[in-house]
Amino acid sequence: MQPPPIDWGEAFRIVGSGLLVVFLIMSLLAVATSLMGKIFTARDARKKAAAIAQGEAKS
Amino acid sequence: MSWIAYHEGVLKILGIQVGFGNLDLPHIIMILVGLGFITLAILKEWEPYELLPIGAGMILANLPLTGLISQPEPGMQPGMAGVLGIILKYGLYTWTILPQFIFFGIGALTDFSPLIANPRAFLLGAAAQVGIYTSFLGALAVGLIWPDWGFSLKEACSIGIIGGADGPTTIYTTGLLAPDIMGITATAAYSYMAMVAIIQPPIIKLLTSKAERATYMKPTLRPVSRAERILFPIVAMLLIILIIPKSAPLVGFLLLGNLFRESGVVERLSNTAQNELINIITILLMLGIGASMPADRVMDPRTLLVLFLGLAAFCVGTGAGVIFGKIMSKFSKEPFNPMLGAAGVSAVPMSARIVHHMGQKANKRNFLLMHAMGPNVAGVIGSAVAGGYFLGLFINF
Repeated sequence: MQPPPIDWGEAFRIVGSGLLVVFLIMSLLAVATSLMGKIFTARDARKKAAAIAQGEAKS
Repeated sequence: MSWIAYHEGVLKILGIQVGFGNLDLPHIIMILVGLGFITLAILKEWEPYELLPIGAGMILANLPLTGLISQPEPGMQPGMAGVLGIILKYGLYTWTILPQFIFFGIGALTDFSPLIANPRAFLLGAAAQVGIYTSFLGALAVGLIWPDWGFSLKEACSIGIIGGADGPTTIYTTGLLAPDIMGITATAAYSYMAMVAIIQPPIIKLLTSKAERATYMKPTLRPVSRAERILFPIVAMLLIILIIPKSAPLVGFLLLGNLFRESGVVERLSNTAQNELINIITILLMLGIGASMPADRVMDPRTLLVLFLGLAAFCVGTGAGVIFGKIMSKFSKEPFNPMLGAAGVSAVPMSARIVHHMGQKANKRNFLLMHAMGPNVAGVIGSAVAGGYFLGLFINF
């Protein structure tokens, strides 16, 4: 049995928007993860600096 | 009773009740294919957890008169449905719950730290999905050359998704869009995952120079805090599902499993997801996949086309990942090995291992495994997103 004729305009639209969506979501995830990393790295650095400062004050 | 009448009676019984009398060439071929899968699983250890039960399911489904693949139907007498038919109907065709629980287990087994430490890897995971869309167009183009063997839009989506090299995503997407070809697309996905070591290296070598392959990268990534590992699945789940709601059954379960793992407070549940649950579901799912390939459904010229297009999707995905890796290496401040793009297909961890080995072969100082795991796990998310996108086009839950 032959499948119904293909609407190539629709097919290319699916490909275009599919790729766009995948790249958009992955880019957003990259940005969100990067921001999260920066925030937590800065927090850890602050904590470390505070601990060093506290140690120096005690000594 | 004369001897001839007795002989005819025996032959009649053989023809009706005995398996041998009903065994025809297509069934024999499928049984041999099933035996081939079992042989590859045992002797070559190619994806044995998948190919062995798939092969066994294929053999059982193609033995005549067993009734094993009879699916339950309304009004059917008790005991008439076969166990494999019940798995097929409720696990794969009607409720489609098995692939999601596999994803749950995979999430509990996956460490996303290499991806969190290097978020650029998300882009490599996206680039490797190009193969999915290329094969989608290729499947549609078949109808231009051989109109009788053409594929519908839904079938083309199911064939394209093989390029993600992600078994559960392929099974889930095909189960909902084109259940008739689910067995073959799932088998193709798992077979190509098993053949990563054969398929990927020539493509990587073709697209990169030795100097590029030898690019040295620092072997360690920054340490990732527990808070980041806990927040990641929550943030990713919300972000992806709010954009593509139909990816929720896959992405949601993957990241839920990961949250169980990283939370550190539900160790028993996480251990169950990583071991007993994923093992039980693997048995059911793979037997079901094997059972979805009775000869009358598979012995079709279109099966070969599906296998070819799936392979093409996988190759194009690998190539696209490498090319994107080359582009990233041009813009990267620090040395960046373009081979990492090949790990963007979600064959975890095989693709990452291939890139690592090729990197060491080109430069003995290289230790790329942790760098390659980033795009590798990003590929799992990328293919689930692509599957969810396809489902969103055709399915209204």
